[in-house]
Amino acid sequence: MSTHPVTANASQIMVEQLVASGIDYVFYNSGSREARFFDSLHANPDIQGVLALHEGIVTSAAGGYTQVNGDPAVIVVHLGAGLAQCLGQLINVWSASLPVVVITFAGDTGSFADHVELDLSHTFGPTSIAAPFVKASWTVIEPEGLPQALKRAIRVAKTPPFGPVHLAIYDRLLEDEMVTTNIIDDEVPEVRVGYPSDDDVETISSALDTAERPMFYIGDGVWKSDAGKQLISLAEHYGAAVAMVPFGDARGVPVSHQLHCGRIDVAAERIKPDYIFCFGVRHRGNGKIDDFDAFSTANDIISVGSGVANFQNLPGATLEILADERRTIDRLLKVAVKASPASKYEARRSANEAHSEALRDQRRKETGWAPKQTGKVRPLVLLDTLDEELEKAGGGVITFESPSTSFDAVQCKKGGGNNVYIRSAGGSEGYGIGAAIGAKLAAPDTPVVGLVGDGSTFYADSGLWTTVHHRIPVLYVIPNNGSYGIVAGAFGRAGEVMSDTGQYASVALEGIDPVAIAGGFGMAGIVVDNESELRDAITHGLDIVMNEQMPYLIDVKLPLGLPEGGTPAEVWKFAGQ
Amino acid sequence: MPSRSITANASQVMVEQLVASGIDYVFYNSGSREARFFDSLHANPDIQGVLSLHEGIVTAAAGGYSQVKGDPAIMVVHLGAGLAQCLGQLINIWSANLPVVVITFAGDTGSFADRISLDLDHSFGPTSIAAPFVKASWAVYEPEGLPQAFERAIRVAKTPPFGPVHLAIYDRLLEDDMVTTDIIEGPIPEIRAGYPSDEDVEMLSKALDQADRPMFYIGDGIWKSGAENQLLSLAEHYGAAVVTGFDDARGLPITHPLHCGRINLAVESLKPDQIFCFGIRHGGNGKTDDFDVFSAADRIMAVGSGVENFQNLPGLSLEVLADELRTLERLAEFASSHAPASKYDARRDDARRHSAKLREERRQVTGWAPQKTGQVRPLVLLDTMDKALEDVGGGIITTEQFAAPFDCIPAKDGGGNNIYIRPAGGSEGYGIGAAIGAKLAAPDTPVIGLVGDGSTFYHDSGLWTAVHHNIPVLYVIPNNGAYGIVAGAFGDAGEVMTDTGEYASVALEGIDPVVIASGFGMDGVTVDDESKIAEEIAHGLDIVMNEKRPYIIDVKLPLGLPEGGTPAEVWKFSE
Repeated sequence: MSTHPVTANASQIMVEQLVASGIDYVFYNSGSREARFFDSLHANPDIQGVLALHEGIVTSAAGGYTQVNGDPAVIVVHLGAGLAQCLGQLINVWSASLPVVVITFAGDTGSFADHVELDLSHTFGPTSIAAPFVKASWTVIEPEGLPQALKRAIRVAKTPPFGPVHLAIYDRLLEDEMVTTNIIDDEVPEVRVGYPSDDDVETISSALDTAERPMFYIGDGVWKSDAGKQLISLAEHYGAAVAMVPFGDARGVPVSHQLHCGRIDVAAERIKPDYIFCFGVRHRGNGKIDDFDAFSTANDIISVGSGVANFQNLPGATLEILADERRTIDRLLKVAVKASPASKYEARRSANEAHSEALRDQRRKETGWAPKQTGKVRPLVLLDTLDEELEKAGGGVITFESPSTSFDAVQCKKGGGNNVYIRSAGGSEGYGIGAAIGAKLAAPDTPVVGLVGDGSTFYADSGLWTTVHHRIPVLYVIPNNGSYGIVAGAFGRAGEVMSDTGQYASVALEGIDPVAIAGGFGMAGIVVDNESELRDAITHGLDIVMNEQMPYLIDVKLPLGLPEGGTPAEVWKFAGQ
Repeated sequence: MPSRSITANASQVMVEQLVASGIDYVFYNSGSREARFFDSLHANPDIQGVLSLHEGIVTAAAGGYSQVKGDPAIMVVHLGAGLAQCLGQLINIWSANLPVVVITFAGDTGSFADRISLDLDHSFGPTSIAAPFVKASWAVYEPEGLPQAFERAIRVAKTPPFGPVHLAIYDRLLEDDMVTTDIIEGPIPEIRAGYPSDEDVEMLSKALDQADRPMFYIGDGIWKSGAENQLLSLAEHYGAAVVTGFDDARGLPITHPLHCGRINLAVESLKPDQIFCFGIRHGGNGKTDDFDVFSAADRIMAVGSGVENFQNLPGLSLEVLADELRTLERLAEFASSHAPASKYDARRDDARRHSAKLREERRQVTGWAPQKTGQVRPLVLLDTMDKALEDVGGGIITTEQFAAPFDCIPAKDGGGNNIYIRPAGGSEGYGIGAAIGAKLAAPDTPVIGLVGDGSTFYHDSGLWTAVHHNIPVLYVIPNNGAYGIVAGAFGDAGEVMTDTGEYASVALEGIDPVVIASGFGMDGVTVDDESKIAEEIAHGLDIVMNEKRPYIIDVKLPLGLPEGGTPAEVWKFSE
């Protein structure tokens, strides 16, 4: 272990250790008690602080950062209250198992007053609030141990399966006492789970060969182990259908790939896979009896992953391989090219490409149900135009939080194309605005689009200011359907009063102008309500972010997101109309 | 128990029971799984849903409602994720011990998939996330038991000491199965802690009589028990100084000539020999000076409805576990029959003098900035606004800002009619939503949301809720363009920023609240000229009171950095 001694106050030590551990950014909302920490942070030219005006935005920015480059992200929020504020987004970070280190400072509620401002009761320790939302959570009391604590936090977060870690640091360490300790210089090495056994590789390979309707069910383990390209090669070689978790991870294999069949529940119903090969996926459901229906036709379920979460939701799994996804797929590829040519699987490949196309058409129909109308842009027109223009620019990163223009309705591209879609794995609203900020920091040379629905935007609109403040050139595209469309859809299916009358209460978001709000935060933007102007607006927006290097917002007026024929119910007014 | 039979789906049963329990509003953010619940809610004309676009605003609105009226407030948020989203504000509700009932629906993570969208891991039960933030939290499975569960939740929340309650209801109850059960009729009776014993009353009264420098340390137990007038009379009778903590601002108006402000700033000059605590939960910073305020006192006596009123008072010599109103009434009876108020004239004069001196000191701290073109000084804003509200008979102000602290308002005989409420936990983002709840709770009283710029940007979409439901709140933004409190701490830290005078990460530059408000459909105006402030506030009050629609006034204050400080150069990703 290479170290160097340092004598400084504890705040300076923390910042020094973060720099030594290769951390480039600290995402935060500032607070009084942490004065020395922020002072040290801003005095150090080797690390940058990124300020957001709500801890939810802090958290989603950190999430977006790590979700794009896989590196650990560090956030600092203000005491117990700041931690509570961030939990609505930490649930997304936890769901995505991202290596985010959350740092809070905590006072002593056990000796002097137990009612401490911005904190909770003495009955709940400083790590208890975050516990349900993290992989690990611990308290740090001794200042000399800070380098080890920070280093360990990064290591725990970054050891597969990744996950958020919370450090509650005793707030006395924010005083100005000098401490002598050692900064740990080496970066945290890449840690991977081991290799599969030869027997396991053989078993999977032989199953891949003999399966009639093989399906790859993939999750975040694929991109986290950097196995995306290898997985595509394997799927293409064997002609396997690829499916993903509903509302889960969107990377791994681009949904635009010709073998991608979308979410597993819908895909399995059509394809009826006889073999399901799970790669780095944590299956999930709704806690209902149909949660495992997707597996009902499979004779064999084989799962490869780096932790028990990859196995515990796969009833009847026949083979569990606790191994690195990339290492396993590399081995499988070696066997594949030796054993038989891709041509052997031509029939399956064609069949699955046809399934993919049919399923894609079905999704496009669902997303594109609304007829063309004046003053509106249809969702598919928006999605296709945006996706095409980003591909023309060499591919971009899209943080997607907008069911009205579901990214899985994007057109097919041979090989999948270069665009990368990321989303909030937990579905907790308000992720997209902040995530795009982090994404841009993680991919400085790639155009980044925040494709964020109106409802999700209003959860975190002050995040727009962060991009202006730090001049982070993100293009925000708001597919604005003037409603909580998903919720309205559920109201429509409930078969109660609203479906009967066609009048939908509590879901129409009327009279809001995202461009004006952006303007209030210092961001320029434009409204597009005409399909013929959309492409120009998007190329203009991309030009602004890529060449002028300024953030920008495009508010795209979609058809109203209520069930077909529905209208907003009269709103109860306190003081009359 | 009066009840009536009902056969309906569980969602309808829930809404019916809320109506039967006297609930007028449900604060919520809508969700898909709760479709039938929201359908039933909106189909019922006897209860209104109030929609906000973030669960933090939902929670703050429920808090503001309950904090004004004392009535229980009900909120519904969407699954585990919605509950997580609301916790940043639920900490304020918990700190204020408000009777808010939080309802979530929770799926089964123990049998089928343990990974559920919008929910947490099976290792944490549906009640565990909220546990640190509530008085009680439980799960409900049987649809027939929903009326009891609701009634109990309201009862537990509303039994002193009040506190938030969380119900996690099994999400299968959102299906359309019909249930036959009994709705429990009738509102929940008012519940109070008991009376003090005669000995306790006598002991307190003696101490009140004999103290040289008596001080009343008061908390939320005063307004919650409805004892404001009694407390005021008693303080005036005995000439006691009155102080408060950080969390609660009701009890006695800060403008009363006996009010000496926050205890930690007041005791140094008051040097009380006897401290009488009424319904107060003492708070601190977890540091060695947390109890310094009690060091001068020979005796500390506390009256309150729960252990929290006693557990942070070291050296307490008398604990009276009793209702504050009932105790104060007894004390008032004793006072009037024993000695005339004139006996305590000297003390009263002393306390008033301290109050005036402390008020003047606070005003000097707040009013340090010189008059400048293009800016409104904080005291000018504060005095003008407070007076304008008094002129219309008094109003309610939800304050969440430090640039123009409400404890700087000039004294008024008897304290005046304005009521200030604040986020007890200090967790930012309360004020915008709280003002909405406050207005619903006090429909005939003008309500001002006095919310700093930094706090506004935590939850600016709350402005839309005011527009959407046409809730005529006047928002006044004391806009110092900074996290002023944080900047102050940076200035005190004695590190690089103090040395250079360049403050990083605290200047909130280039934001226009009026433009943001317009994006949410609210009209407003910017005021940067002191000579216009009175007429703009009068205009704003006219809009909310007569035109009956919400409005926003952005008031440009001096930059909230330490004197002479400038914003540090901001790191830019793209230069």
